[in-house]
Amino acid sequence: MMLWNHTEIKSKLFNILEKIAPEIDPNTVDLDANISYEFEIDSMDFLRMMVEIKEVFDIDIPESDYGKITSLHKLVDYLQRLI
Amino acid sequence: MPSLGADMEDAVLVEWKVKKGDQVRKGDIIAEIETVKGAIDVEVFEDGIVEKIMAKPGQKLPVGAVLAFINTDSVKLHIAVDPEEEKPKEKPMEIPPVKDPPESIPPIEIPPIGDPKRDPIPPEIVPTTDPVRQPPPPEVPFSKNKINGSTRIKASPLAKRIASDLGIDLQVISSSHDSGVIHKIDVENYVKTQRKIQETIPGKSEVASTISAQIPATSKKEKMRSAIAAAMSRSNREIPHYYLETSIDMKKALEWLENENQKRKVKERLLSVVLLLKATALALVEVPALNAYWTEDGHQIQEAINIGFTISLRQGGLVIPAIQQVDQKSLGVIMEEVTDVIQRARTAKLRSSELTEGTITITNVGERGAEKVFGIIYPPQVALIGFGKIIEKPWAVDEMLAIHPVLTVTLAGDHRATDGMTGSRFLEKLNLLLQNPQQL
Repeated sequence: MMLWNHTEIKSKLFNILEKIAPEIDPNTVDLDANISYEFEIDSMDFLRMMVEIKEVFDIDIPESDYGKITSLHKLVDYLQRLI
Repeated sequence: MPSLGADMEDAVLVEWKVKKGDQVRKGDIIAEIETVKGAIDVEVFEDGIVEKIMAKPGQKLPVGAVLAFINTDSVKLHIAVDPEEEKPKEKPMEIPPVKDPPESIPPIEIPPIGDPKRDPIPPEIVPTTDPVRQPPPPEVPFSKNKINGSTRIKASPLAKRIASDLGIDLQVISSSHDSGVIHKIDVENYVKTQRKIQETIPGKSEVASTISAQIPATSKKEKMRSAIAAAMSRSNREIPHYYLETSIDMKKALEWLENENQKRKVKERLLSVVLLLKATALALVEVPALNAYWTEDGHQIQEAINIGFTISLRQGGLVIPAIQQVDQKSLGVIMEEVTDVIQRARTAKLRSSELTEGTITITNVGERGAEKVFGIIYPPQVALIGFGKIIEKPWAVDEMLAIHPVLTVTLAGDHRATDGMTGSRFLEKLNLLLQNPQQL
């Protein structure tokens, strides 16, 4: 498995987010903000994000863990623990 | 120019996908148009041969204007008869009924295109194709693209919108991406560069001032809002709406969904909206009066259950593509189609048939929305179902109070077509179906 550091995970996540919400500016994003509200991501977008995460990081996040990854910060930490 | 909904008045022809003499088959994409809701692929609804192209790329045309002529008899004629000896009969290609002048709000009686037999166009209202009377070229930058060559500019919908709003031709903007696609950041960088030129180079002040001056008073977003408002105002005024509301316990449905998703790969997971779509379709099988159009012939029940699914666009506004024959599809297939149509709606890649064949509409405000939503019927349909946010509520179970996830469902019905008893039967059936999710 490929090893990723915190910055690389964040960078890959922004690439994923850009596909889903093209107007996001990585320089102004609040990493602690709620993903759904901050980026206007609905359940369909969120699922798409999970699919992309599976493809990029080869990590299948179960639905029961969705509550643990409500901000980008939490999502990066979550992924780093599993990689 | 097809009518792609009650809120559409005109569109810009962006590109022809066919040329004179091409043979076309039902369902082929023959052109791309730019509406206030984005780019739409226009499909042809009959087999034939393109006899004459009337509209040019870049032209802004009202709904009902002739785009081209298609000879539906030409396949046979070209085999049996020399075309020089007998000129084949020309037939306008895919024209929806036009009952009002183009500048007025589309009438609510307009049925969707694709069924010209039901409401053919009287010949006297087919717009002229006299070049002198053609509408003026559009203000959007598509007119400058070399449509027939390979130089068509690729840009994200957001970049297109911003450039269009600022009156900037996309041809002058360079992409910073390897793909060559122009994104929002490229448009912003272009504007910044032009402003810098104005600030630093004497005599160049006209560049930035031109950009500011080119910002149109009415942006595309405002036009979309205006079109939606006009169509919905008319619907609200002319359709005697009645409203019903019910609360549905979603505990069993969500537990079943969670269990089901544990068995599925992430790509195949289902969202709760898929259960709602399928349950709605199956309830409509039992209560078909709500799956109907109201036309000048009155209440017309539709056989196919094509559920229009309201999608909010990130740049603002709504589109309502239809998922076809939902009652006959599995949950997995419905999920695939919903995913596909949402992505295409947000990247402006919808097909015309998807916007015109809905027989009923669902609006689902989702997990970030309000507890309940009261919709306005999308003519010529006769009902709209609103799904609110699922919230935890006290719920009586076996004489005990428990906390359950509860969904508030509303129904807007057209009183000319149905009454509250019909609507109530539908909501009751929907509730029963959602209590038995394994049967969906």
